[in-house]
Amino acid sequence: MPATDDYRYSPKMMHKVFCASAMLLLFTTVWMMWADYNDEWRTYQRQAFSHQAKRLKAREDALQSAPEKKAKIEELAARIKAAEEEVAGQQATVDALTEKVRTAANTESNHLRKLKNERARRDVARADYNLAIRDNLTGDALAKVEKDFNTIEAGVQVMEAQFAEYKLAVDLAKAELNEVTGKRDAAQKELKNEKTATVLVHAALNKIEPDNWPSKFKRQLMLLPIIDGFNSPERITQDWMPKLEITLGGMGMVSRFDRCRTCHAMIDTVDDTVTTHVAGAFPSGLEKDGQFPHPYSSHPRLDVYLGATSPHPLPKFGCTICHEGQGSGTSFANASHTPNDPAQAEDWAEHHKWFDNHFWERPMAPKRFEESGCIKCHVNVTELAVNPKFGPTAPKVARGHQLVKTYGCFGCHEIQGYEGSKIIGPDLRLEPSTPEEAAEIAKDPNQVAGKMRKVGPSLRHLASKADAGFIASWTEEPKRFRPTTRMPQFFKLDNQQDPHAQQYNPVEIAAMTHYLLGKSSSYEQLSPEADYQPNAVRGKGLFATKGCVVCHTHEAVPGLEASFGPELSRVHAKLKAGKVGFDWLYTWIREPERYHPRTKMPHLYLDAEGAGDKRIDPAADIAAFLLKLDGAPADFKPTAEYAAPTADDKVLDELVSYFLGKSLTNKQILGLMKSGKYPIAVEKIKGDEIELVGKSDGEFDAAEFLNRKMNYLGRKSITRYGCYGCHDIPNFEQARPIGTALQDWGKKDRSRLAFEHIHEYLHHHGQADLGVKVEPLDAKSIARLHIERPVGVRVAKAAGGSLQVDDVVLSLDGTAVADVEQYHALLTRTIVGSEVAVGVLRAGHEQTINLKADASLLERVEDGIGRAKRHEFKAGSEEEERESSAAFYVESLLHHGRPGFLWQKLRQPRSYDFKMVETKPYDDRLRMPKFPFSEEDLDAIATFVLGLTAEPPAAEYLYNPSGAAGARIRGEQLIEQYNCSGCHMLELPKIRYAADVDAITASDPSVEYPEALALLKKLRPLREGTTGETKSVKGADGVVKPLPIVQFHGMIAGAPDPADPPEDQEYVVESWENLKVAGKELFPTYKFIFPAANLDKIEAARGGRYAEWLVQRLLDQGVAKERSLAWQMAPPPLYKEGTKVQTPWLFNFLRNPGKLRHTTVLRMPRFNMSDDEAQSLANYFAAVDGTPFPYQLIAEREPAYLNATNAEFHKAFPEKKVDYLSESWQMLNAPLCIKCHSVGGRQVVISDPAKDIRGPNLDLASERLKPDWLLLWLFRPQWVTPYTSMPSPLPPQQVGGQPRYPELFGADGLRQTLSLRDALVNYYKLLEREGKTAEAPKPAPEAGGGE
Amino acid sequence: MVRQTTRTKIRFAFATAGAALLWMTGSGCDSMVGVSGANSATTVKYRPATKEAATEAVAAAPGAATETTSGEGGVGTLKGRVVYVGDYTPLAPLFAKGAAAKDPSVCGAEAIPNESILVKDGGLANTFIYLDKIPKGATIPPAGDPIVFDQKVCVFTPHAMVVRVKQTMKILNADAAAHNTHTYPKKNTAFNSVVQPNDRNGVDLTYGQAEKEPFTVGCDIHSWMTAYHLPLDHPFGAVSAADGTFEIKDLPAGKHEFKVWHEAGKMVEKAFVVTIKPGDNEVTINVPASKLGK
Repeated sequence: MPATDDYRYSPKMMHKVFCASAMLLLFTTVWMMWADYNDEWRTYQRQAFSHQAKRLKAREDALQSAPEKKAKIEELAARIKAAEEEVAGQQATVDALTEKVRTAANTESNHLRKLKNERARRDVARADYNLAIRDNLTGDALAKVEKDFNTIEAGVQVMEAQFAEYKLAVDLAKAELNEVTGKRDAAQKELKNEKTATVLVHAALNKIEPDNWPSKFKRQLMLLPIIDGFNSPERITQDWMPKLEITLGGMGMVSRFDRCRTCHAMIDTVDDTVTTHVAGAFPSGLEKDGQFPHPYSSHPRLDVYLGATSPHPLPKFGCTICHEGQGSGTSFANASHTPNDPAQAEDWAEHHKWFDNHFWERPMAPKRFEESGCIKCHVNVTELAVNPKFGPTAPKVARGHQLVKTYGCFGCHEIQGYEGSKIIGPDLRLEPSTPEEAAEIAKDPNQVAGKMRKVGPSLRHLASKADAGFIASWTEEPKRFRPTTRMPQFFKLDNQQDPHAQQYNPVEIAAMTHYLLGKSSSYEQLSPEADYQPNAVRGKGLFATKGCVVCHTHEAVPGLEASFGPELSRVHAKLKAGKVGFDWLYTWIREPERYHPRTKMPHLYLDAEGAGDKRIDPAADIAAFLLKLDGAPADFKPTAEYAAPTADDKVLDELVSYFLGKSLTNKQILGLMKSGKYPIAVEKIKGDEIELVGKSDGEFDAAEFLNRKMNYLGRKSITRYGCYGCHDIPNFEQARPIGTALQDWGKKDRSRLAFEHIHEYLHHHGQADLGVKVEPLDAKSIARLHIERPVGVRVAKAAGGSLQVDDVVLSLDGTAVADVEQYHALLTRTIVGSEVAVGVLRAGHEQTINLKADASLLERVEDGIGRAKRHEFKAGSEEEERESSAAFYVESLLHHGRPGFLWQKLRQPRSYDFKMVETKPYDDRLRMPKFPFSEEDLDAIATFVLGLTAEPPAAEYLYNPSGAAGARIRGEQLIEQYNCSGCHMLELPKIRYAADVDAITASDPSVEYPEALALLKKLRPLREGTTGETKSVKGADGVVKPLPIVQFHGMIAGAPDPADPPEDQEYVVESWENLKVAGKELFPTYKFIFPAANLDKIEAARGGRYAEWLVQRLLDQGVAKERSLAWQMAPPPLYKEGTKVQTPWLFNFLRNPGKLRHTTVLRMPRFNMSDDEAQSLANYFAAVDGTPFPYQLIAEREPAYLNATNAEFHKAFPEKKVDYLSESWQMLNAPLCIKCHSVGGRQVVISDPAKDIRGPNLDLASERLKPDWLLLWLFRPQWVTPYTSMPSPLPPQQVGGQPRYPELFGADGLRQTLSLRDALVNYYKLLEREGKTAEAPKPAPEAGGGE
Repeated sequence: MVRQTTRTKIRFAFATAGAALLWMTGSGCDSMVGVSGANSATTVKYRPATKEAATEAVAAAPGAATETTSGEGGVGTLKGRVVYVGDYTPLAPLFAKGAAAKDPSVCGAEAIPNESILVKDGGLANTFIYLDKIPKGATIPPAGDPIVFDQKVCVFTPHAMVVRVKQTMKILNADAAAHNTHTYPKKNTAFNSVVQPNDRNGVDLTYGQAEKEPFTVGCDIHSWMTAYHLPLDHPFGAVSAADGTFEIKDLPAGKHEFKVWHEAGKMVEKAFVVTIKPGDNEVTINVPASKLGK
């Protein structure tokens, strides 16, 4: 019996299995399709569509309901209706004419069809003819084809003519019809145009939310799974940047694909209802405020990013080049978003399935580091902080860069910005330390020299400045002497609390001091004249007026709190006693470059003046003030004493032996210590051991051997601690930086960071804390505690310990505590575990308590996260920011992240040695010093360092411009480096106020030469003063109404006086700009007078704090009687300097600033500037004002100009025998300029230099000033510098005015003014040709005017 | 509210007028106000310049203390004299004849006087007495004819002057040397122009804004040259003449707060209160030497 199916299997069962598996397969397939379809991004995209639709609807409504628009449409509709009625009245005519047009058109088109046929035949005939030519046909054959062509062509011509007739007939018929229906048609067309915007908006809306069912159905259909593969409205949006490559670990470089816009759909949507595209159409913010949260918002700065006209257009840049993250990811987690703090991380994990993806090497930068990416392309960094067009766009990373420069991190950690000569990132490297090294680098085309100076002072001549006691004390703990110092602390830190270090450190310090003093060489010091008695009181005044306070703070001269240079209140406690110490300071003040050739301290030209009793030596006076000198320089005695450091011999030997153990055997060391003879020949020694060897290899006596050992240990310690990274130290010229290079630290493999026992450390320590809770002093507690001065913070909670509730903490380590913020900031700068001197007010008595500042950082952070989650912080408060920031870094640290490592390294550099020193060799201990950084500083530095990835993008993305933009960047860096803006205003204060524009009176142009006005407009183009914004202000009539805001740069001449009645409170502001307000032209020095209530904002000047301070001081002290005179004594604002001076002159002036002005109380100092730097700075000013550089043509010296002017002169004055320039020279030497200026070889007579205004010598003008500027100045000096004393020399004369200098240029003021300019421009030529004007000017005759 | 309080105080003061006078002298108050003349009903009150010490004292003949309110109608003339209280020694000239520091042939023709404090027969010259705002009910006549501001032997004449807003000022030069006339106003645009030697046609200058205080006018070529200008948008301001006398006409009757300003002591009185009755009113303004830095 053949086997049936039943024999092999049970069909019934089979059916069941088959059915089940088929069902399973079906479900799996459906599930698979669903799962594939149900992407996270669709939810966001749908929501985005809904937001867009809502906005489009709103716009459509707005467009339709706009009253003027509505009115226009209604008007058009009415017009159409009227026209239609009119047409309807002549329906018969219209019908007849329409028929006529139709017939004519029919005839025309029928004819055209035939014509086209004939044209084709003609073309064939022409081709045949051409072929015949090609085939060399001759005679009849050729004649035939030619004839055929001609026949057909003739026919075509006839038809073409006929066609033209028919066409004309159509046109005429249409025109006839148009006569009747034209009005209606035009109105209909206008209506269509009027509706275009609405139609476009509606079309856009229709795409998202169709208004008819077929479209709706089609849209829904296209959204279905599978079908959605065919151009569905919902889709992944992808930006492809082929040139912006990305390294995928081990896979090499691939092009970048960013799919971020899949969810961030509106990121680049501009608001087309406004003209400025700074803000997008979907402003970022909370929904309840009518704004849009991520991912539905537009980018906050579309003018800078993503916008088509921005410098970073979306198609070229995409997203991840700046933000990092996984651009190809289409889910929240896959995109590698990074939370800004742990509270946010938990929130994301809960709501967005977020997790920390360890496998993607480029997680998105959290918000706090969003600026890190900028420096990949912006390697100069500066333009991110100062930008003429966009303002500060990335201030935090720029601040980090600035801090690294200020604190000299690059001294130990090289930040190499070049690979050969190719730019790979910001470059911060030390400059070559010797001329030889510099020359070598200059020769090599593949090397670029570093540019940074060492940030500390030179220690090459240290013995002339300080004694061993001070040096040792300072080295051990610099802030003990000067709390504000930038020098970091190397000793008394976390990993030096064990007995070993306690024993070794003092010996190391003593040895370093010994080395520095022993190797110190002498240099030629200056002394004041032997019998000169320095005057400390005068010195204090000079300290203020000679510009010292621009960079230095001194408690006796408060007001500016400058921190560019060191604080000087205690210099008297540090220098050597007697004349040596005094002379050191005297020399330093007079010629700082003698002591330290690369110092930033400029040469101030503080030369002694006068003789006998009248002699004033400002440098000596200032030195006397700083040293609190009361007597002769030789009597100087420092106000503090420091014990000289001592080294225990046994410990010294132990340390010397220990370090020698690296290169010698134990036996060799024992022999050396016994005999003093080094076992290796001198020429074979390369390291610090050279200090132990004599020239003759001889043995040393005990004293000399001790000296040698100290030198050796000192030198070794300097090598180990890297002191030479900041200071110039003998024998360390070639030494390399000791720290890890930072140029690619931002991508350093996390596994290569040594976290050691940091977790355990932070569990128990890591938080500088006095164990109490403090609160601000409120009025109640001030009264209750009977406090006289309301300073300090009150202890609100204390758990045992030395501080009690109601203690008032007045100071920490000598720095006064102003508020709770500062209390915390100061604490974070102390060292955990070390003692802090706490100034306390307890029960009315001040006392100092020494306390250990220590607590668990983890506890603090956990507490902070808990409070954040419970919403216990005031939203957006500084406290929340501080705590969440700390929590972020600690979380990062615990997860072995780079930011956390860096943060802890900067706060507590030695904490990574926690419980490590017990097992580590002494030599291997961490040596990174502790810097006085605040939490904000740390955040900024981290932002900068994390951006250092040494992964330069394609060359076209690198922003390293040449030309004017490049000159600006370089100039800004130098301005910061030399603190130019400390003295000079670079931009004047900006004033915004609500203006009653009708009440503004225009400047009167009728009292000016038209030529002068034209020149003014050329050099100071008219700028619109109104901003387009308004501000509501209560008018004199009590009615509140919006007034336009006017904005301009100028000086405040009068501020409201609180003593005046409210209606008299007003501002008087002098505008320096050439403005146009409400169609009225307001020339510079226009005085705006407006009520205080109308003020919108005063933006402080950029730079020039010192100038403003000095002006006020000169006024307060009665040195200057008027503000404008005080300004002439102060450093001038550098407003439009580029239009004023010739760049080559400025270069020379910066290199060697000669005495220019006679009105100032101080001189422009000479900075220790290289040629390259001086050139760059000179170029900067030209670049800022858009004038050509580095050279400028002086057209007024060219023969073309001079010949033409001379010819014109003789034509106007045929009787004149002299030439134009000679007469100009006479004009210049007329009794006018000489009143205040030395000119033409004559010296100006000044009776009292303190009172008489003396102008600059005019022989300086030809090389210094640009001719156009000079002419403008001669026309009306106040336009250029409102505060000047220079009068308008030859303004237009009133009718009937007395002729001025009638023998020169026919008394024509305009010609005379021009001639002054030309004589000045050709000054040296004329001085040589015409000679000096020797005699003093004669007084003018009694009547009749000038000579 | 303030006015009310002030009034109460005044009444109290009136009731004890004699005592107030005694208190004022007793407490070492620097300034005294005397009233004399035809109209004995004129009330003059003195308020010190500082706000804190703004106590009012009244000096008037007992019984004559009737208060007038402004807007009563009628106009009065204020005639007065500024009296220098203290010992005065005439100031030495800045430069003796022929000793001028610059352009000696021109400026040395005569001695250059020091005009910072000029007293004649006890009267203080060059003191500005003015209202800083237009009083209610006043009629403001047009600015009037141009006035002359001259420079002679390197000295400005007049040394101090009140000028009306929009009134033309002719700046002349009688010297054979150029001067640059340089104004330092607060609200007006600074003027700084060369005036040619012997220019008798001069340069015109008008002020567009009234100022709250007189300001300096100088010459940068001859730094000793100083004058003071006060542009006002009304005619109620005067400068005391060489003997200290001054006159302000057509003041609306009522209470006025005058400012008294002198270059040596700047704002000598911030609010010198005078109640004007129709007709002539006379006052004496005493300026103690200490207020002029003596």
